[in-house]
Amino acid sequence: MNTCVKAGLSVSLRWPRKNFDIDLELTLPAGVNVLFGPSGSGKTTILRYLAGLDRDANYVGQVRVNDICWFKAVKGYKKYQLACHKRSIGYVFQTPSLLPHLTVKQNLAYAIRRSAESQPLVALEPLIALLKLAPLLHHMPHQLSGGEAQRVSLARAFIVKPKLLLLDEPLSALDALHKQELLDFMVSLFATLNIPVVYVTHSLEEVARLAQTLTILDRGKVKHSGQAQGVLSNLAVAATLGRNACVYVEATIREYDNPWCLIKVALGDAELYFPRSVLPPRLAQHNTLLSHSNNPPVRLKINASDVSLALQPPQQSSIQNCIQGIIDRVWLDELDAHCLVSVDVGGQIIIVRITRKSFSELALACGTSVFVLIKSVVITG
Amino acid sequence: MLNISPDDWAAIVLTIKLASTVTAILIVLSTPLAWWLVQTQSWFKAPVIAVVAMPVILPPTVLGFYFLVLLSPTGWLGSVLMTLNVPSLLFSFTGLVVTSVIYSLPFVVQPIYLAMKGIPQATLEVAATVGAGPVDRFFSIVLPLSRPGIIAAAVLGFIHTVGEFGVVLMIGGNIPQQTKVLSIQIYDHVEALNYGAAHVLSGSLVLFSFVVLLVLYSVLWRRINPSTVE
Repeated sequence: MNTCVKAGLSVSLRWPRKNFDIDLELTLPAGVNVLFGPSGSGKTTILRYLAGLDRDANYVGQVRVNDICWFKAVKGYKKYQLACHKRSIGYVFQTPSLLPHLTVKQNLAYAIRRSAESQPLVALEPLIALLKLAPLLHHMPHQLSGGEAQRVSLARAFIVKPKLLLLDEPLSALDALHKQELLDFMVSLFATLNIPVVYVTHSLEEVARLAQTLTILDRGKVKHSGQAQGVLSNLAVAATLGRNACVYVEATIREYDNPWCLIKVALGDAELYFPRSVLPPRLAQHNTLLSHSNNPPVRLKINASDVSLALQPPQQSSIQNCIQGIIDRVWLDELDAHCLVSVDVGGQIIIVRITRKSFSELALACGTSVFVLIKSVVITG
Repeated sequence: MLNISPDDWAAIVLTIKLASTVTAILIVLSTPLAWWLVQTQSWFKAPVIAVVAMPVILPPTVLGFYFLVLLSPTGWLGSVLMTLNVPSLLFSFTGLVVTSVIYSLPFVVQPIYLAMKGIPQATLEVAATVGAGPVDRFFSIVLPLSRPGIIAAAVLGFIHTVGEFGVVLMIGGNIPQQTKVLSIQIYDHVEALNYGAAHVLSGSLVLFSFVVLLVLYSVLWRRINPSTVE
């Protein structure tokens, strides 16, 4: 990976600690890379290591951003460390953290004045408009709600044009409504960037909407890492998620409205119908007259618990969304009432969570041709 | 204010001059010192704090006595200064400034230290991530956020220097316009059984201290920075 310079991040860290050791190595491309794992699995530690916020004599590892070394320590050798303030990063902390003695506008100006690529505050207008900051510019941080403050933090992280963007559960302090709103902002912001983004979360919804690659951490070690879609459709990953297991698949919206108030979605060869309410706000306002061919692909998030299997297409059932596929893999655990079945539908994987009893009575096995019945989905953008 | 003699006025002016000079020096000295104490993890921190805090518990006469010994022409510091042709610090205004700085140091370091300790680490980390280096952070974050503490420290340092007696008595002596400050002047009046003059000066000092502290605690504290934590 040292041969060509392209936007990306490579990080390795070996760090013995009291409760568990951090030991990992990751190469992450430009785009949103989600670090996912239970609390205390070392996610925040890695972000702080990438930012250079913690200095520990026992670090062994290296950080390279766009093939430029930011940190390198080999055991027993002198190390190279770029100080935090010299790293070109944008960091959004878990709890909104603005400089308390400066107004919103001054907070943004503070960052701009110190960024390597300085630019006038005026150039920010699109960002200020997107994040709806205009009415807040002259407020002090303590006058802002959590959501507002986090929007300002996001803006501050973006305007310095960082080489690496680090987000530590940026939505965790917000209520559901602001979460949705900010998630929408981030989806559109990230689309304009060509830098590596490391995004820490333990929300599967955020994974589904944002993740390009997904890395699952457990006690300081990488359990799984790769393209988000692939990682989520790995049954070992799904098994650890249990009832929350989900996958997302690429689909296309064919019709935004029909006499039944449903939208029509094409998934491979199958046509599925869902109520308009599954659309995210951005698409819900979409002009219904858009030509079919221009419709961009969308991601459907399908929960393993919201789908079931049948050997025949349902004839007289209220469940009408049905897609044919072949059983690819099965995850059985004798101590669990449920099992997980991954079904290949035209090259994409859907995971189905059914009871072991049904699995056995339907005599399912790898290679069996089945029909996946889809009760509901979420369209994530 | 009938009975304020020219001598009294000289003492008042000298006291204000001494207290202002000492306060200015103390603020410049204590601000970085307090920040160092907040930041450092060195083993050196505890001894430094102990030394700085010593004037709080030591009787001023003890301090004065050691200054006297140290600075006398036969004392080691005094003899070094003498060979360097520096005029003796004993019984001079400069000497009073130097010793007052040491004597009032803990009263100025303490409020600044507390204010700085209250600045959340997260705020400093945020500043670092947007590109502010350590010196930049000191001026752009630490100073403005500890402003209430610095103002309180200046006021306390000023009042404390005004009220100083023991140290001055030991190393300053009683030279009008040089070292004869207000507290010495009051002492002289009492010695001469001139209670009326002592009352005027003492009473004004009580009033002055009360008004300053009243302003500090009731107005400044709240107005300076309403969002200050703690």
